[in-house]
Amino acid sequence: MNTLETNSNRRALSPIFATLIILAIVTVLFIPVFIWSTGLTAETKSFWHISGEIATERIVIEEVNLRGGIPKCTIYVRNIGKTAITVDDVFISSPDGSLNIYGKADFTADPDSVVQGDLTTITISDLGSFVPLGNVTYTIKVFTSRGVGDTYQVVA
Amino acid sequence: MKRLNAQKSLRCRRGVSTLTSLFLILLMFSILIGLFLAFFDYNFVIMEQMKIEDERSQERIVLSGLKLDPNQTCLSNVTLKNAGTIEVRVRAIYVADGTTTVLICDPSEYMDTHISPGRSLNISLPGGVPFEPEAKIIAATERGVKTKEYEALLAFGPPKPVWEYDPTKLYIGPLMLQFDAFWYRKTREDGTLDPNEPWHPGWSIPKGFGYCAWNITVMNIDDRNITINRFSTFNVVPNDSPSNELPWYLEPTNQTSLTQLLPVNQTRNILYIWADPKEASGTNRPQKMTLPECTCMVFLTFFGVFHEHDGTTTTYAQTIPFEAAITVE
Repeated sequence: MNTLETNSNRRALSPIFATLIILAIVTVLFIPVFIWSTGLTAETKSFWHISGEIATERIVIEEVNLRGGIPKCTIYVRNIGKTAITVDDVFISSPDGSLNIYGKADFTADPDSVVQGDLTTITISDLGSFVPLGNVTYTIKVFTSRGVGDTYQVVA
Repeated sequence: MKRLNAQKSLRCRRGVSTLTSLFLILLMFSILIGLFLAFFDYNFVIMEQMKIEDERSQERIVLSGLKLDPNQTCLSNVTLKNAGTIEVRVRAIYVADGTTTVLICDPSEYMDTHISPGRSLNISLPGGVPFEPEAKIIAATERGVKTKEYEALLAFGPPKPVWEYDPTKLYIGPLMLQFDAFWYRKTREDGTLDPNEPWHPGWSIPKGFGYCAWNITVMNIDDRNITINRFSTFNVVPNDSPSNELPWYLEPTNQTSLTQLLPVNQTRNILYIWADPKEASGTNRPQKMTLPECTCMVFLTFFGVFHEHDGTTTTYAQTIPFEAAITVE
C-alpha cells in the first residue's frame, strides 16, 4: 500500500520548477510573436505617421521669375503645411510637352528646409540647354522630398 | 489521493494558462493601443490640415493704396486691406515688371503685419524700390494667399472716364446746356422783349405771367458747326397734366433763313418767344404763360443741320431734358 502511494506521489519535477519551465517555454515562444507584433505595430505607426506628414505637407509657389531668353529661374515657395519641407525637384514643362527636370544638385534653396509659414527661394542659376521663349506660358512644378508639390503657370 | 493529485495538476495547468492569457491580453492591448494612438494621431493631423485649408479659404487681401516718396520715383508705402473673414499676416511683397519678379521684403521681419478682418494696414517698404507704372506689386500672406495690382493703378487710382457725370452738364449730343444760365422775361404782344422788364432766373415763374420769352445758354461741343432751325422749341410740360404742354419756338438770329448758327466751342444764348414756328412774314404771336400753379418738366428740342468738314450738311436733332423742374407760382 505504501509502495503504491509512493509511486503515485512521485513527480519528475517539483511544481515550482515545472511552472518555471513552462513559463520559460511560453516566454521563448512568445518572443518571435512579440517581435513580429511590435514590428507590425511600429510599421503601422510609421505608416500612419508618414501618411500624416504627407497629408499635412503643403507648399504654394508664390511667384516665379522666368523670362524669355534668360537661362535662369527663381521660384518662391511657401510652406503652408504643418510639416517642415525640403524641395527636391523642379519641373519646367513647355507648351510643346517637353519637360525639363532639375534635381537638388541643379538648384540652391535658401533656406534648405522651411517650417510652416516660411518662404524658401529656389534659384536655378543655369537652366542648361533649356532657354525659355518670351511670351510663352510655362508650367512650373515643385516637389518636396515626400513628393508633395504645387504647380504654377508663368508667361516668360 | 489520486484524485487529489489530479486536482493539483489541473490547478497548475490553470495557472499556466492564466499567465499565457495575461501575456496575450497584454500584448494584444499594447498593440491595439499603439495602433489606435497612431491612427488618432493621423486623424488629428488631418483635422489640423483641414483647419488650415478652411482658414486659407477664408483669407482674402486686397491692395488698396500705394504711396511714393516725395520725389515720386520710389515706392514708399503700400496699403493692404483684409477683405476676408479671418486674421491674416502679410509675409511677402513682390514687384513684377516686364523683365523680372523680385521679392522686395518680408514685412513681418520689421513690423507687425497681422490684419484683422475689415481692417487695413499701411506697410512701409524698404527704400530704393523704383516706381514703375506698368509693374505689378504683389502681396502674399502666411497661408500663401496673394493679391496683385498695377503700381500706377494703386498710386493714382483707376483711369477716369472721359465723360464724367456732372449734373450741370446733362447732355447727350453736341449741344451742352448751361443750367445756371437760364432766364425768362416779359414780352409784348408782338413778341418784342419788354424793355422795362429785366431777365429773371428761370427756375420759377409767377402764374399768369402772360407773354414771355425764355433764354437759355448752350455750347456747341461737337467738332462741327450746327445750324438750328425755327422748329427748335422750349417745351414746358406740367407734371400733373402733361397734355397742357406749352411750347416756345425759337427766335432765329438769322431772320432771312430763320435759323441760328452755333459755332464749334462757342457759347451762345438761344431765345424762345413764339407760340408757333417763326414765319418770315412776321405774323407770329408770342407764347403766353397760362399754366396754373404747378411744377413743370422742361425739354429742349433742337432741329437743324451739322456743317460737315467737307462742306456738306447732315441733319441734326437733339433733346435736352432739364435736370430739375421749373415752378409756376
